[in-house]
Amino acid sequence: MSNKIYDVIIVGGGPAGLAAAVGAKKAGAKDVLIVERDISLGGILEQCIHPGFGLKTFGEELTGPEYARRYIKEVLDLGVEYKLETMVLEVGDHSVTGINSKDGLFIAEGKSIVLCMGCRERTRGAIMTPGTRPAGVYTAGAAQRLVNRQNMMVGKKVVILGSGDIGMIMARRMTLEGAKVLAVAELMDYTAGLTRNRVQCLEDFDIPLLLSHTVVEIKGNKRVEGVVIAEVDPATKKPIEGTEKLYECDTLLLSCGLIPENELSKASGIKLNRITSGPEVNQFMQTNKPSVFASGNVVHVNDLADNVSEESERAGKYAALYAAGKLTAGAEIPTVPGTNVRYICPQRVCPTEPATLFFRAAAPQKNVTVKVLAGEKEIFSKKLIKINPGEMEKVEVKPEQIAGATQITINVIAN
Amino acid sequence: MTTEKKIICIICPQGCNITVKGDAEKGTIDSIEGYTCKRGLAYAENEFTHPLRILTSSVKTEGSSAPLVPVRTRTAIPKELLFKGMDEIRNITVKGKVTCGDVIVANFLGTGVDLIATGSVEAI
Repeated sequence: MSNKIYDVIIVGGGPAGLAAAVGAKKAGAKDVLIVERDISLGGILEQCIHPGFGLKTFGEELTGPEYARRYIKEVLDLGVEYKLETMVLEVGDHSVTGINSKDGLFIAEGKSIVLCMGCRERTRGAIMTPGTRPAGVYTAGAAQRLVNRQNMMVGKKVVILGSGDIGMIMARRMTLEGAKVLAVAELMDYTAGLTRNRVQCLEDFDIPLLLSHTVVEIKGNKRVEGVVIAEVDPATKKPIEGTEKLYECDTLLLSCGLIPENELSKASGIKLNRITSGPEVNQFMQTNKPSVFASGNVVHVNDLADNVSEESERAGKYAALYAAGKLTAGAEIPTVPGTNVRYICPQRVCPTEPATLFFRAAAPQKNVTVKVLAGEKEIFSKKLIKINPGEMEKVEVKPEQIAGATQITINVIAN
Repeated sequence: MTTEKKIICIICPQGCNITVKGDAEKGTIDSIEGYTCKRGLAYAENEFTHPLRILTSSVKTEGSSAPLVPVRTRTAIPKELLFKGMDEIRNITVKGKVTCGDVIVANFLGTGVDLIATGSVEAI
């Protein structure tokens, strides 16, 4: 590698990395590098061939590859450098160690770093589904890549465990490709993904959604021959004896949640949040290490690529300002999830600048009021018809509202 | 016959609950309540009288840098044509270079809507 010192180095070229690069360039960064492990930029968007992207960002409905292409074009037009098929091994405060077959092992130096590694799916091992270990058990995203990018059909009779968005989208995709989807089983008593996906992916095709159900056994030796689904007690989530039913199928797809991919962050001493499993950040998406920023699903799993883009452009912008010496640190106020709030991102707010607080409810609830407190003082409230953990909410706070507060709390309270 | 239909809007993640009253067979609508934007109003009107969906899939390639190229109908087509559309898509093979936005099939299934590429592949 040359002796060049980049202004901003971005780890990952998916929706977060692309938007971070755009944000950094627009904020004046001269030399920006994206390091990506896949064969192309775009990340997971390349296999998300369904529509529903871009309504917020571009005001029109695009598919994943089209959405990615808009950002890739902008990244190329702005002169961002990138390396493909390159694995990052280590992230330092001002450097990224990577390896690929062209450069070999290299260290790239940067004034600031943005972590955009995204997330990965929970596997069968992670959810500990009992039974034999035959072929035919896939995570929904792995099946999506095989079907949508590699022209390989993964099965004919399918059961899906988990009602995450990818699972529901794959239920529709498999049905359109000629497979029979017998059921989508969901452990919780509500859908994990977006309502619109329940409607257009399951209800449109009469695919049964079994809430408060889970797979208790996988059967088959070489190939999946069936799965046993049982009802669970909504309070304990334990299977109810006597409710087991065998579904004869050749494929089980798992859509059981996503985990931010933070091995690199952990190894470099970035402080992670227990609930989100991602780095704790302020509204500039700055981690506990001032030169290291993070955005997108590596921080917290978003429902929408549009949100990832917005948050990542912000991360890129502030990483560029940091690189230019224009972002100075000060005292910060912690945000605290209150009644029926699972988490808030950012976890810290710099009180001299406005901040958007993104948060998720802990449980679905109807007719609620969202109340934001600075210390003991209520600074904002809004009524909602419903709140759903699958759909992220946000509130804005201004410097004059939070000045002098020791903490900012969000509560969701029944009307 | 006047009926009432409860619709969950799929245009954006908000998922508004919309109630439409009217005669679906005659295509007449008496009232629409619960929508919060113009797109939602249009969706509810269509959904009551004639449901539409964008169809997305992928088509095989030959002599291209990837085995598939993703496609979509440029705008929504009648929902009942989705499976017929898939039968058609299964028989399509494109050759060499395809650029995002290229028309793969004009006037797809006689709907007046084109089937377009949503990704790009290079010729090899």
